[in-house]
Amino acid sequence: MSAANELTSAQRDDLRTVAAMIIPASDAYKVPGADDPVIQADMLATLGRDTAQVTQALDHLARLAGQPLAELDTARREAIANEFRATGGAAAATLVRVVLQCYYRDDRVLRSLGLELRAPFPKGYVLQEGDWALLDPVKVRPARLRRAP
Amino acid sequence: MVIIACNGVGTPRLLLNSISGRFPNGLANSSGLVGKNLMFHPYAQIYGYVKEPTDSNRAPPTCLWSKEFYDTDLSRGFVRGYGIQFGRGAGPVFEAVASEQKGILPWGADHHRVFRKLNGHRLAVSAICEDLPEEHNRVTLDPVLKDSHGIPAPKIDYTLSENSRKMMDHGLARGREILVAAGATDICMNNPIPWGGWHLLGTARMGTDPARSVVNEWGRSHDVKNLFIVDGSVFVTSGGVNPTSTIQAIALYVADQMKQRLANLFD
Repeated sequence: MSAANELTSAQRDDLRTVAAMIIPASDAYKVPGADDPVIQADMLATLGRDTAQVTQALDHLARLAGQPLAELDTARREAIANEFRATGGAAAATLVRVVLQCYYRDDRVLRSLGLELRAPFPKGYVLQEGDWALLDPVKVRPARLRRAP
Repeated sequence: MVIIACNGVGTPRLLLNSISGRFPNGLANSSGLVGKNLMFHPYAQIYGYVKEPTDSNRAPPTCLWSKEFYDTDLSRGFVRGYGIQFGRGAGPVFEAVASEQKGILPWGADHHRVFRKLNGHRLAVSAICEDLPEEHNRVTLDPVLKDSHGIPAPKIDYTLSENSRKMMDHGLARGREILVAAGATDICMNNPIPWGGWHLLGTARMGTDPARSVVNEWGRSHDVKNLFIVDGSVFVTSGGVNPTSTIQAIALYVADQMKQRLANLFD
């Protein structure tokens, strides 16, 4: 069963709201926020073994807020978020990690950081030979470690 | 022939659970040293952020080693030493999670600016310290906890020694000097790092004296002639370096010894 089915609608709403509080969209950096639908879908689809902890964190958040997080005014929402971070323990830390890891693997975000959407090695990239003069003192130094007989 | 490779906790657990009338204190344990002398690799890490890009998205995060402080120099206040691993970060997900947890990456509008200052600019210096063999650091059998088969679980007693603490402090001080010289800012420490370095070593030590070791110099139990151990538990010292290559080398060495001694392997 996917996490989309395991989280209630209210929990998904709160997850989206708190995600946007962690990482809001930015016109200056031309990036979506962590409440972006694609990033949210990634979170729900890959929650996996983090589901129980994230659910626990969202339950804690709901208790603190007493109503949907999105319906609170900004000041109250900030206060709830601070309390959530201070008292949420491992469950809150797991929720934040899930938000960050899904956000920072989004193609649009990686492009905005100047990263290519692929691993740098292998397949095609060859590093230019560097200046290895840094190792010259090591090469001229006598052996210090005992050699195996 | 029985060959055990269950690591520095699993191997003593297996041996200590294997009691019989002939081996009331556990198999291969006439020395009483099975489970004792547990060694780890406590890591002391200090890191900061430099203006220059550190290419953290390319290749392994650990990119440079130093053995400058590896050997004993008593003027440092401790015996043995540590290797230094230089790290350059490990890509955006790692940087985001680690920095948020450390409290230097904020939530909200300033998140993006700060993240761009941190990501790809991390310079880390980690001291991988050589723990000493001490008998009070040990693996025993838990008197209560059992696995799903009802077999007693291992119980670990370990205290970070004063020697290792001094070594870690020394490594952090050298790391700070390096970071300051490199112009690093936002300097943070993890001492010890919680997520790594807890390599499991020393709990079935190798040696020629049956009273002071569990296996002989080619990996065969002193007490049980058809029992061999080829994992990190046979280490006598821990070294200030990751142990996998050495464990592999020992396994190959023991296998070679078996082959060479085949005619009288169990004598």
